[in-house]
Amino acid sequence: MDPRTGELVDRLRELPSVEDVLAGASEMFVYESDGLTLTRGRAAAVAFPSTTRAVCEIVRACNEFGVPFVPRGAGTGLSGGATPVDGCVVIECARMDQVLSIDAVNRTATVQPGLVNAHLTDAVSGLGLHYAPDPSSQTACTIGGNVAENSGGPHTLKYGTTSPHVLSLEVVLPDASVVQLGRRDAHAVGYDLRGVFVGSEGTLGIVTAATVRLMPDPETVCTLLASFPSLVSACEAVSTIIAAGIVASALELLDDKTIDAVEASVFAAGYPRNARAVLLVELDGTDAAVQAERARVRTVCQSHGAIEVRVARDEQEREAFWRGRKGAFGAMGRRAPDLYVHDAVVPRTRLPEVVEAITRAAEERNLRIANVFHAGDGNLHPNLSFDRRDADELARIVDMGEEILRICIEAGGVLSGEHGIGLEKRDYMHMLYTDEDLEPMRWVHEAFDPADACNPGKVIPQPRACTESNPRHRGYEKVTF
Amino acid sequence: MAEPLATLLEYEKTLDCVHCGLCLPHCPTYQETGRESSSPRGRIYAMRGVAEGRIELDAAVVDEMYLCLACRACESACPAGVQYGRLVESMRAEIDERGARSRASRFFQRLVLRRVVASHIVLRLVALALRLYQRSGLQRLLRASNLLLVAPRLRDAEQLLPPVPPAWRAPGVTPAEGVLRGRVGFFAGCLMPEFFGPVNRATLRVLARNGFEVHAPRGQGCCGALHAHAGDARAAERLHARNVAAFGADDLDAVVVNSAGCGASLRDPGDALSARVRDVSEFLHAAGLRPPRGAVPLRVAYDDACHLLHGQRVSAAPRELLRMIPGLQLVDLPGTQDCCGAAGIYNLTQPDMSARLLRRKVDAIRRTTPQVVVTGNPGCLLQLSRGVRDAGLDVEVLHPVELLERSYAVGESD
Amino acid sequence: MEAEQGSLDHVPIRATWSPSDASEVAAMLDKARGDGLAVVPAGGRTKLHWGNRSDAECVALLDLSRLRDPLDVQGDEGIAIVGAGVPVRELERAARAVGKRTRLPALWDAATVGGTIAADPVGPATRPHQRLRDELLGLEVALANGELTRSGGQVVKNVTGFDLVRLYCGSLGTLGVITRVTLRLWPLPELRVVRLREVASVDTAIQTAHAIVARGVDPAGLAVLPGPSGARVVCAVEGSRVDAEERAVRVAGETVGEDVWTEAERQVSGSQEPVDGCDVRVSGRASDTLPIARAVADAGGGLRVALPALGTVFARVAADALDALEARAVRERWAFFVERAAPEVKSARDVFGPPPDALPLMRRLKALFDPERVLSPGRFVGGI
Repeated sequence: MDPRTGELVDRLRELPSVEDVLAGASEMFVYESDGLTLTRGRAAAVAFPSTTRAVCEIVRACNEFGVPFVPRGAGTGLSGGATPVDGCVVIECARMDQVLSIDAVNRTATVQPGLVNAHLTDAVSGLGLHYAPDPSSQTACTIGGNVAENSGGPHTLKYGTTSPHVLSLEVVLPDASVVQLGRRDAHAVGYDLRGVFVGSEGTLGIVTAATVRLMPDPETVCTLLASFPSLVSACEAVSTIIAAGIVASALELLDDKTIDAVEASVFAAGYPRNARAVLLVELDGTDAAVQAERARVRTVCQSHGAIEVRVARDEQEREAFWRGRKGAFGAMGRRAPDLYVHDAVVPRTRLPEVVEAITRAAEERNLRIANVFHAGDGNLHPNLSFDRRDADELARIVDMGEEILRICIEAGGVLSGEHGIGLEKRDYMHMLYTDEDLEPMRWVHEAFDPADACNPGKVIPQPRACTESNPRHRGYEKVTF
Repeated sequence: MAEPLATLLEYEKTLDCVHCGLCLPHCPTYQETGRESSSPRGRIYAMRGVAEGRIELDAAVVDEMYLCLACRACESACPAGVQYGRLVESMRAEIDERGARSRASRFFQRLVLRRVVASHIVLRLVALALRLYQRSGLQRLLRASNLLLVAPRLRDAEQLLPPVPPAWRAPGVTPAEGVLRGRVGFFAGCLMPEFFGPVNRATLRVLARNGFEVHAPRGQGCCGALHAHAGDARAAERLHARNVAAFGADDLDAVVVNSAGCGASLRDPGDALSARVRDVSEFLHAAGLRPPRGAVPLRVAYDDACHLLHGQRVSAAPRELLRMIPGLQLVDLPGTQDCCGAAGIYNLTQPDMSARLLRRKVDAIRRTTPQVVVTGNPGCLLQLSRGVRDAGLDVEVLHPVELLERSYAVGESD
Repeated sequence: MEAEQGSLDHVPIRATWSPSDASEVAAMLDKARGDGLAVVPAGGRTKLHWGNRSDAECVALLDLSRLRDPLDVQGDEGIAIVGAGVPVRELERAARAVGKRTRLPALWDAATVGGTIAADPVGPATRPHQRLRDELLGLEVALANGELTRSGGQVVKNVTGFDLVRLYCGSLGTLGVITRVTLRLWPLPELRVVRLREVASVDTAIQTAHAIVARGVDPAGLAVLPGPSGARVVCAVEGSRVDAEERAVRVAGETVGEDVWTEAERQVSGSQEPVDGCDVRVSGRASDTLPIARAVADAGGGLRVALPALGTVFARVAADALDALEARAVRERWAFFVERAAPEVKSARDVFGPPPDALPLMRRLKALFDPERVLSPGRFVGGI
């Protein structure tokens, strides 16, 4: 540790509202990655604030020492958004995990950023309310991380991603000032800075409190599990369900390899092993509506050659169906030492051909692939198993990641549906956007973080025209208006 | 940099972890510290780092491996099926092998485990001494004198102790009552006869009342769980072999265990003995409990023992048995899936963290206001007793079979 | 390009430009910047009265109503890609033809898609968790630097970089000019039922409306209107036949025709002609609806319509009552917006009320997007 870093660590340890500071070599080692192990970085220290003031003080100390800082929640992100920048201070918000207030009348809650997503729903379930965004990692990931990534989840299909559920944010800006973005009543006055902050992947500041919307629990929920002889027929069933005007709350697809992995794990859900694809359909609403839609969904699935359509008999079975889906990612761990969970979106109707192309590309590269999709919104998660100790396989994995994006963009898709860009896809942004398109993103960044101190180097690539000669990382000076 | 690749660490098993992080909120030490390094994911990553020579086996790594409770709550949450319990045991063995731990800690632990727990005779002497100590008034004297403050570990151990009941040794064979439904072995444990005589007696009574002839072979002994958790793999293997021999000869339907920690440990090796091991609640539930008739009108909270819930995946059976007791009101204890901080001898080796976890548990008990808390593991019984006693709560702490036996007894006298 | 007489809040309109496509829009912005001329984008001109009086000496009106290409409704995909100048009603007709609809507020006959997004109005059909900005998938925007840029995409879920789409939505043309829009389509409901309940007072009506929400009706629209004998609660329920019928039963009152609904929408859109007094919109949390309505009455204002699910009240108040009402709103942390007022009234105030504490950030953004203040200078919050 260089003396200057040592001095900064000492300073952080003296801050009264900072609960804990880690700086040991082995401690920094375990922080080198988030949920994406393809990228790594070595922090100088990890600081644990418990209050907004503590966050400000840490940021101020970092600024004084000219050291960048990286906010972190549970480290479940999958695009390297919380990967430390070498020599940075990680600001770990896990201990800011309190529910600050609940407004049952207006159906909102104000929470600290380190609160685990599922714990928020636990806290309000007695009121007949829940927090709708439900990323698969919801039992572990934090609200602050969800805000940073604009996280999705299966029920995004009907209820939207994180952004529509965030009313206002208390944010510590990179200059250590505190600002309120948005309003507790969701009425925008001025630019929707709340909207642009959500999904900015921790590059514009650090959330220290979030006021979020709570949704009333549906009167009835029904989950169907349909198994199909082919992925294509399952995709077609999805299209028909949507065309029939049925607004399902979730439409999730798992391919055969995923089914195998899940069934071999503790999250075994009783998915039929002989199926080539399993479709999970969730319906919610009034009892009468759900009954009627259930019958229609069953008919649609059968008309597309479903091998079997099962309706969850009770809450326990429903939870089992979902546990399998939500644990799918971890369950892949059985297949190889490392796992790359990819994320891309295509127009929904293009799903079958895109999946076919991706599978072919994986085969060509001799890679093992399993697919999970939020089929209702065209969001696909190819899971690639690999062993990072095998340099050649690692190279093929990285190449495959790019190939998936190429296939998706050609089909009219985008780079990410819910995992974010982070480090993983930063340099692929040019596949979708021109430098001119990216310029307004740089302006947004410049307005919030002119010194480029907060989670630098993530999301936005350097402009193509101006790199080497420019001393500043993002190279604003070279951009002419 | 680091020493060559580990030999005792089950390195390949670390590769099952894909770093998803779903274990984090289930880990009691992570809940308390929020540190990645105190989480299962972080610990596995550190093990891997050590094995691959990317980090040194420094004091921070060693401390975190021993801060782990080995409660295995993470295994219940892990979609990849990582065998965390085995990993942490093998890592501790590795640490011992490399001599990376402070001498004092090792000495204290070995003294307790190898010389006391593993030896019937020493254990009996210790229990006897404690009984004398408590009844002679020496305890009051010593506690009042503050002399214990000079030896914090001794003080913690001393304070953990409930009044030690008379020792009770299971008879070799207990005959079945009513129609004979089968023959089972009874694993009596090492601490149980000395400190939990009433629990063992209740277990035998309940089994007998349910029509089972119970055999408690003489040659059996400590299961070795505490030794394995502590990384003393050799001692653990030796002890297990003794039990395999003791129960191997008998033609028994099952080997019934009333201590969750012992049960999980006996099941772990996956040998012939392991396959027959059943927790007493699991066994009775599967066999079909003869309905107890006596009313036990109490508000009861069941607290999952980690090595029953996470180690053996038994959670519904004990609850359903308790629900069969007339008049008993079973309530949910918030955070029941979290460790109470007992974790073998953890409350002696990591008194601070143990106390923090116990505080959570006691808070939950205070909010739930039960008259009785039940749990299926001796370490947890000790820890919870201490917790409610220190908090001044009027709550009885019992093993589920004690309530079953109470109901049968009341039913008989009616 | 033709010259046009007229003014906007007494600021002379020096010219009206009518570009025929997006690249022409970009070129015109480039030229305006070169000439140092301020530009005010306009679509159907239904909400040009929104916003502060510009601080430019004169402006050019950028009439985008010719940007009617494309009008690409992809029913299967559930999206529509449309030119900014396409009227919302026309898009609705095209969507309806394939069994779909949008969730854009359609409150003004002439309103265009681009203008609606720039202004971000709310209406009786706006649901709290499904605002206009949540319906947008992608925007093509001409920037003050003369570049034509894309943000977002054509898929329903997208976190590729910063969410510029939400930033542009509601920015009243001060960051860029929207030229093309990709938005979400939803299935047309099988059944729509409009229920009307007449009650004795506005207070009772608002309480009744809250009770409807609490009963799990999940209305597709909810409004309280003043009525001849007190007040009216209008509630729309939509869904599959069984669903809508089931939920409609929970709404006490009589089933009425769409004309009652249209009346609620008309009250939101306000008068298109100059009138006495000022049109204001005061918003808070849902539970603030009642106190806001009372505050409006205390200020001698007339309630036009209240949207209790959103916490929004539309009213008409006298110009000399604005200050007191705004002061009350500030105390109660309500948002206060003077939608329409005479130019002399507007020049003396910020029609958006006191700016939020993030104003410095907003100013920095404006300075980076539009350093030479070409786009509607002075018209937005805090004189941005």
